[in-house]
Amino acid sequence: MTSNDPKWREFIPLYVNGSLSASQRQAFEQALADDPGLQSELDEFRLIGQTLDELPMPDDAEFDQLFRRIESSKPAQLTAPQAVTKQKTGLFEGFRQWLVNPFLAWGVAAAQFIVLALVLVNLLPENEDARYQTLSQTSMRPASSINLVFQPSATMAEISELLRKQGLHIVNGPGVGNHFVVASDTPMNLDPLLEQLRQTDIIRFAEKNLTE
Amino acid sequence: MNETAVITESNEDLLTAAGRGDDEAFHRLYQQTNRQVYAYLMRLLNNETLVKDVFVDTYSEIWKSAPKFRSQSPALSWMIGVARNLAMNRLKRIRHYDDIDEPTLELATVDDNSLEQQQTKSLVHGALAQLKPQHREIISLVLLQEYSYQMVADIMDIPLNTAKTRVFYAKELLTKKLTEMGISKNDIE
Repeated sequence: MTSNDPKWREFIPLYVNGSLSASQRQAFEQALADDPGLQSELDEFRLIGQTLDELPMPDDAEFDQLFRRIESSKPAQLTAPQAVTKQKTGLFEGFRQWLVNPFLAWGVAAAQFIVLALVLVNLLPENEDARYQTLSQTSMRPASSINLVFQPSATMAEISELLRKQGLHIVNGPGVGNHFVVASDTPMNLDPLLEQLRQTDIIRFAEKNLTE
Repeated sequence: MNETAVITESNEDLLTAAGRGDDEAFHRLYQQTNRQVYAYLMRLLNNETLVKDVFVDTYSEIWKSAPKFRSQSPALSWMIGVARNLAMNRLKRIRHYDDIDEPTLELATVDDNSLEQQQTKSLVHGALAQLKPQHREIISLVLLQEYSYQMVADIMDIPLNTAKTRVFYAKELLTKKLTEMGISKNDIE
C-alpha cells in the first residue's frame, strides 16, 4: 500500500480534522506505519492545519458590533413565529399592548395636562380681586332678607304687627328659638332698617341673611 | 431561555431555537461556532479587515435566516454556507476594483513554538495566500474540525468526487509554491 492509494490518501485530511471513526483511524494508523510516503503527506496536511489554526480569531469588537446590529434590527424584523404568537393573543392582548405603549402613555399625560389647564383657566374669575370672598365684603351680592330672633315672650300678634309696620314679610319661620327669616316687600337699604329693628324690645337679634 | 437549547446544546437545536427568536440560544450558538466561521473566512478571504466585516454580516444573516434552517444538514455547514455566499459576493465586488490575493495577514504569535517552526508556518501561510481563493477554500474546509468530504461538497455545491480531487489538487499547488519558496518536505517533517 502506498501514499498514492486513493483510499488512504483520502483519509489524510479526515484523520487530521478528527472525523474518522475509531476503526477507520486504527486502519489508517496501520497504513501509516507501513508507508513513509503516506506519513510525509500527513505531516504536510498537519502543518497546513496548524498554520490555519494560528490565524487571528474574532475578538470582542466583532461580538459587540454583531449584537448591537441584531438588537437594533429587532423591532423591524420580528420573525414569523413571533408574529403568529402576537396574532393568537387576540384583541385583548392587542389592547393591553396598546395601553402599555410608552408613546401612548406620554400622549395621555399631555392630554390630561391640557384639559386641566383649560378647566383652570375657565374656572378662575377674570377679576383678580374677586377670587376670594369673605362674609363682610361689600362686593358680595346685596342681602335681601334678614335673620330675626324674637324674645321668647313675644307673641305672634306682636311679631306680625312689627313686620307689617316695617314693610317686611316672613320668608321662613318660626324656627328654633323664635327665629324668623324675613324680607322687605320692596328693594331697600337694609342697614337703617336693621338699626331700627335692634332697638325694638321684642327682638333679641337682627342681622342680614347672607346664606340665601 | 429555550429549554431544548439548555438540555442538548447542539448547534442544530440552538439554530432552530434562534429561528424562533430565542436570542439567548443564538448567543450560545455564536459562542460555539464563531471560531470556525471566522477561521473559514480568514482562510478564504485572506484579509483581516474584510473578514471582520463579512463575519459580522454572516452572523446577522444567520440570525435573520435562522427560521429557514431545516435540520437535514449540519448547522455549521449551513452557517458556513451563509458565510461563503456573503464572502463570494464580496470577492466579486472587490475584484472589480482590486486584487485581494495579496497576502495581508500576520500569523498569531505562539510563544512555545520554536523560531524555526514559526518561520516555516509563516512560509506556509505565505504560500496559502498565493493560492486562488477556491483552492485555499477547499483546503481550509477539509481541515475544519470533523468535516467530511460530503460536507465540503455540499458547501461548495460540487459533486463528492470533485471535492476529493480538488483537495489534493490544491494541496499539490501548495506544495509547489512551498518548493518555489525553498521549503522541502524534509523541512516540514
